[in-house]
Amino acid sequence: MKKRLFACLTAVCVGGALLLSSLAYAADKPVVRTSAQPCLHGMELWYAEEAGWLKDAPFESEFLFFPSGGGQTEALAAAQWDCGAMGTVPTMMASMRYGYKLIGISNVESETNDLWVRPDSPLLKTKGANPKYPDIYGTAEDWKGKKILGPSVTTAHYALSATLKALGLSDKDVSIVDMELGQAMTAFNAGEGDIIMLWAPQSYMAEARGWKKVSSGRAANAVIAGGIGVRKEFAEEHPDLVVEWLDVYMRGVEMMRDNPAGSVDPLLSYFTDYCGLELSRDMVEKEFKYRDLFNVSEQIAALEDPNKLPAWMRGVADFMLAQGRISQKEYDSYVNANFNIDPSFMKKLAEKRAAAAK
Amino acid sequence: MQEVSDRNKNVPSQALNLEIEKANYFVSAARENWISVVSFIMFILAWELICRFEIIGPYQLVPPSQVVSLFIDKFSNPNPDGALLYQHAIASLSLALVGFVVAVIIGVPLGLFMGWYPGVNMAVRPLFDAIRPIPPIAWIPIAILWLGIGTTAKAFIIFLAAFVPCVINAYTGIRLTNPVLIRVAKIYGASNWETFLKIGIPSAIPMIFTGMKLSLNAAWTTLVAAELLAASMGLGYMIQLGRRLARPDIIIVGMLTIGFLGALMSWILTKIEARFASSRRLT
Repeated sequence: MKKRLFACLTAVCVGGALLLSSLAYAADKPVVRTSAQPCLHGMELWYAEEAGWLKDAPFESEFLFFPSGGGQTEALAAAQWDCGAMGTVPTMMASMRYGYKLIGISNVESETNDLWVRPDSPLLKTKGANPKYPDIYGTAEDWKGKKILGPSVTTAHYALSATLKALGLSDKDVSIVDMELGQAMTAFNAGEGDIIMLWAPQSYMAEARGWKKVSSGRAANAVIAGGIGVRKEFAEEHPDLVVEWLDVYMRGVEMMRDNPAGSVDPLLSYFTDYCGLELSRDMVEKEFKYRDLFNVSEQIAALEDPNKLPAWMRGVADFMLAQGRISQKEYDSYVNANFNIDPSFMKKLAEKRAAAAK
Repeated sequence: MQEVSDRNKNVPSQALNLEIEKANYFVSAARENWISVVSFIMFILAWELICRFEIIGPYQLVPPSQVVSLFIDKFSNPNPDGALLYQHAIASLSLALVGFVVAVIIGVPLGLFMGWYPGVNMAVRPLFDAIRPIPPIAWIPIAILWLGIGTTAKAFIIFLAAFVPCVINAYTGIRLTNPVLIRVAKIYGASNWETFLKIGIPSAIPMIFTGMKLSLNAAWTTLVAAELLAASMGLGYMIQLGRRLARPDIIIVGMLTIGFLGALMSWILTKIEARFASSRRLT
């Protein structure tokens, strides 16, 4: 009896010690809370975990998911996440309000922020009414008075405003009905509205339903760059961790950039198994066709070149100012802060990789 | 004659006594309420100081002075949410009223019939009990498919929220009718329909009004969710845009306006109840 009790106690002690040591090991590593939305820019950290890339990383990753940039920005304000990726409009709002640092480009999503109509839309009769914008469908008259569904003050709205501007119109010439993406798709499917503003991967679902693309950010010459960013306080307190996190994130970006064919399966798995989206292989393949991805050296060039990321962010700021969403004072301080772009982390990553290569 | 003139002489002194009584009432009410007033002022002061000393950041909470200044500004400046405050308020008020009124028109008679006629109760109750726990927001996708994205769909969401308290309170109110009164009516030869109209409904009125007040609250609390469905104007839309623009001041102004309008409508309903119900109450 005594022997059995002793054996049991020993087993409990050994088990407890093992558990405590594993917990202690986990606790040794700081946690970086990553935030994303169910689209391409969230795949990198998810895949890093799946592929075991995080095993050697000096941090534990906690993945937080948001349906759109509004909630993501609010959570940032409450210091609920540290590093992440989001669209260009929430990135701008987060930088302007909370000092969020823009440290990289997740992808250029000008083509995947787009506008769709049903196949019987009169807009489809004319293409390139303004020769400067050959990929925009419909004339100014066709667009006037149309009811447009989708989330306002977003990157998709930016693509819409750029399209209207290209046709000599403004937001006042159409009727914009503010709706969340999913609800807008349900309503449009039920015959409501004339045009819907979307972004990928919902755009691919629209294509699969037979809807026709009538414009996009790219068609209207608006460059829409998804931002990689970090919470100000976290960047100041843990600059080295930010570089380490960026290393893992950029590994995912570069994998997709350099090997798009090999990245289809992981991305499909991410969308269907993790995000719960019903997408086909064809749809996922389009992600690599439509989006521009940058490696570390290209990122540094884009972050520092005044004609690239700063110019793209200025375009968004101009849009927000023209819409009356931000004041002139806010605009000026944002421009003067160089759009909160901070290339230092990407540069440190380049140095780290160069040192490791030697 | 002499008596009448004596009475007339007493009129000014009676009026004076009445005025004094009134003044005393207000003084004692003020005395009793001073704690509430002081605590409210302290709350506003603490809120202002927390913001002024940046204990909470300016993009997380704005001081009440800034809220007041934005509130005034929103009467003439449509930016950044695209409309003036009164335009948002009218859009939301009309939406809440449509949903609420339809809920009262359908819900109160339904509750009364369910409470009075067992057959109606048996027929409707299972369906009502099944629908009752479904949160109005869960109806949004169905509402879009059935009713589109216009006012009808949004009013439908508000109606669903306001409908349930109307039915339950009207039902409970009529079920609590004093059985003695029902027996007396029947003894005097009143038909079931007459008893329902002249005994049942008047005795249910206080509960009906309570249900209407609860419905009104439900209508306002569902407003933001209803405007999430689709909107280009309204207080819920204003709050939503405030979220996207990371502007807590806009969110707070939207919230306070909803609170103010809700309280105002509730107060109007209380006044109507005081006039209407007291003259028709049966016990």
